[in-house]
Amino acid sequence: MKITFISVGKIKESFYTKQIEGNIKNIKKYAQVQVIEVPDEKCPEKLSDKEMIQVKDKEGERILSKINSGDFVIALAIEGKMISTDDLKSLIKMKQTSSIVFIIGGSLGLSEKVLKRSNYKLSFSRLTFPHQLMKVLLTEQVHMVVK
Amino acid sequence: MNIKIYAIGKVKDKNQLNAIKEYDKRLGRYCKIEMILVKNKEMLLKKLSYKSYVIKVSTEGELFTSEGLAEKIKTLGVSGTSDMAIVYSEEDIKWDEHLAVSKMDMSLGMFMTILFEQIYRGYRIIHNQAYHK
Repeated sequence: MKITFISVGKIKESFYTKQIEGNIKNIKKYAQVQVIEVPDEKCPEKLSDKEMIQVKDKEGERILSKINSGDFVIALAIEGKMISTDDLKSLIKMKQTSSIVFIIGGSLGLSEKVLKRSNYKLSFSRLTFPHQLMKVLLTEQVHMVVK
Repeated sequence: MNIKIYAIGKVKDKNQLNAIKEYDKRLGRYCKIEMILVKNKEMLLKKLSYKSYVIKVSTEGELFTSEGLAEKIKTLGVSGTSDMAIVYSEEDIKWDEHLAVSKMDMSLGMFMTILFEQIYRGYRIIHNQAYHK
């Protein structure tokens, strides 16, 4: 099984990066793992709707350039499905022959194009998380379902 | 507000503890918060004060938003409730509200990090202070 994590922007807090590294190391016992961080766009406090779309589009292009045509893409999105750990386990099992790509967007979320390309939209919670914490949560969850 | 977060189990991961510690530090100016970890249900029931507003959290509860939590903290404060107890447990306990962070399972350290971060976010929302996603 091959699992790729694509996220936007760098993770700064060391207590988060270390947790992510630990989780990735655990997943590697069960799958081939690739971790990709694409650069984020500068995002000032006040952006017009049009500017927000531009930011998401630019980040989206960088994400899409890392995805191959046969990949099974799972995008983390607010409007995604909320499922249990067991359900996620079944989904991953069903797709284990393909390369699975998880995507975490930047602070504004994912572009329309990325959402359109995704094969499954997943939501962890109704809570708004900092993007760094989201990556810790995702990698921990993936470790739980692959082990 | 005094907030106590109860759970059965242990948090061993140093980095998870560091994350919790960081939010605990940032929360110092807003509230008194404490993580109380116990060995079993008996200990939990012994420690838990029912004078507090008790929020049970498990995967079976009702999902809530960050804004919803902020509103809850604010409303409880206004109504004169000074103690909030959050209990992360599948056990059958008496509760005022039953919530869920996620339908997914997670480690205890992960849950605590999320709760501390969300309570911090809640206070930032209440005080109209910026907080980055």
